Amino acid sequence: MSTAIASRPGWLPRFSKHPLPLLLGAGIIGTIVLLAILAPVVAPYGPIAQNLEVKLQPPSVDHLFGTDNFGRDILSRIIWGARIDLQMGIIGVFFPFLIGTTVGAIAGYAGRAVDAVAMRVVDIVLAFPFLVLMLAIIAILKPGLTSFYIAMALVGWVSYARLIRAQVLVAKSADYVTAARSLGYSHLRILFRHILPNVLTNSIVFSMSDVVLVVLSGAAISYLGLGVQPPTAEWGIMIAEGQNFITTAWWITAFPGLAIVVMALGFSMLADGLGEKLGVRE
Amino acid sequence: MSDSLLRVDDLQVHFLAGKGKLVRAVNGVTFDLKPGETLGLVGESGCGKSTLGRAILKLGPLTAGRVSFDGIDVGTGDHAGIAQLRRETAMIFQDPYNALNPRLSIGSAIEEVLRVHRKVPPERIKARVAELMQLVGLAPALAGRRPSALSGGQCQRAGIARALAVEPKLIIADECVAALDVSIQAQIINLLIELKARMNLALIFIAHDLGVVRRLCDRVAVMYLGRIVEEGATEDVFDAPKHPYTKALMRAIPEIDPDCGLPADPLGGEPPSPLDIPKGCAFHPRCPDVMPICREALPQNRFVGGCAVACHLYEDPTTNSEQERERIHA
Repeated sequence: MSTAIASRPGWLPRFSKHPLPLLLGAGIIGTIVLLAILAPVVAPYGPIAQNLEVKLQPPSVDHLFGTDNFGRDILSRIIWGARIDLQMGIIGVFFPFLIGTTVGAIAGYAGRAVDAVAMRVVDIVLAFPFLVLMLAIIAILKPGLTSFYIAMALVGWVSYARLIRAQVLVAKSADYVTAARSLGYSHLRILFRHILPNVLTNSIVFSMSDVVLVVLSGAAISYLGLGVQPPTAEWGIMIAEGQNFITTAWWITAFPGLAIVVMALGFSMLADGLGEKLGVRE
Repeated sequence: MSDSLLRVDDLQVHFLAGKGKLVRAVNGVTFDLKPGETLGLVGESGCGKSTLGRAILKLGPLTAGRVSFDGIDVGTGDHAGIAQLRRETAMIFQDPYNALNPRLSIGSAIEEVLRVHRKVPPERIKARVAELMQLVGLAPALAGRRPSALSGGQCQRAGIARALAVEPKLIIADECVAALDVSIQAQIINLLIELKARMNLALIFIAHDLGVVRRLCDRVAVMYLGRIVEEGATEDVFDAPKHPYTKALMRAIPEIDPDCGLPADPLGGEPPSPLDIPKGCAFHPRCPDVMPICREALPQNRFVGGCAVACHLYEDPTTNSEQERERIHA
């Protein structure tokens, strides 16, 4: 493997080895991340700076994506909003991934009662419509981003738990696991050093596409007024705020919506490419 | 018999196969293994060889019977007994790629054994890994490779090195050459012969390749449907098979001699399902020498020419201390 790379001429870009979706996805997400980091520099206006003299302006040279009913620049708000939406996507996936992977791995490995209990809990969570359960949890806590993350962790882990459990069940009977048992390794060592690294690939790929879902539900929850609170720039809120003007000023809703679509596309292509790349190894 | 390393007494493994059906995979197996001895376990696919091997090492289920290793009863499943078993036994697998963790380099797989069992002081670990790799004929430079970057033979050698890292007294090799090319098979067999001579290893060699068994093993046990039907010194069994099943197996060994042709009278049919083992001698539906008693009574072991044979064709067993351990299962 290393020899193959070493024999390439140095000037030849290495990325040609990677699948196209991975490159496109990484490009899109990379751009969004960059814009989010550089928001203070690249955004032409402040995210909540009002200028009532230019309210409800259609896209123009001064305001590329137009302005809303408070005269705030839509483009700037989208760039600033990327910070919140990216953060939502990443934190909102990380905790469910962590919890679900741990629970699923232990359930699959331990089997019997542990497995039965864990899987019934999964069934209970899955019995509720996803968003309804999210809304209920957030309503019990208090509207805001922290509550959204907690709700996401409580609801989102089930998909990871199922995914990992099924794969651990398969891997458990593989020869290399029997070999590890025959060598007298502890259960912790077998599960976390031998089984888990071999079954994590699918979950990582799934988590990439899950980011899309999390960002969309984050936007939906903000839209319903239970997530990020106005006047913060966040794509979901921007869409919610724009809906009163949808017939007269379409740009207020259209551009944040487009931003969500582009980000979703980026993550799902990243997931696709990553799956292709990691899948080859197996 | 106190000098035996491993004693397996009336071992049984049954599985539930749904609808209350019972698969009798291993059906009362008894044998002894001395330190440094090599026992070949042969038989058709599905006769329970691998299940037996795994049950002995407590890697698979065990329904009844006793296994004592080095004088310690491991069948009861207490932690101390199993811990000792794990420290002194190892297993080699059929599929060399599958037996190694695909995410670990072979060097770190060997290293892990040394660390977990504290075989050598930490500063000696690298050196010991290189030593073990050389012992099995692997260049230590390959230590950083993952199994996917190695050939099947190299992986099997790595698997053997990992097994040897335990410094075991007993290795169970489950069809460990069946998945390899013939030339590599020979290399691995020679390696095993060399290692067992050098390290006084006891080896249970599970195989269906009789030629390999003949070359490697001191003793052979022939299994049929979960029972050992004949057991004895390799040459005795190969030169003068007694049980009709063993005879059929020996006839089925292909000869490299164009004049010989194929075996004249191969064994007919398939072995009966272990879900529904025939009454009496399990082999009677396929046996060319079947007698009425074979359909009724389970044959006990009798000793003929140095071999233990479970067949009614031979004279009834006389009662002696050897037979007391053999209980009747109807």
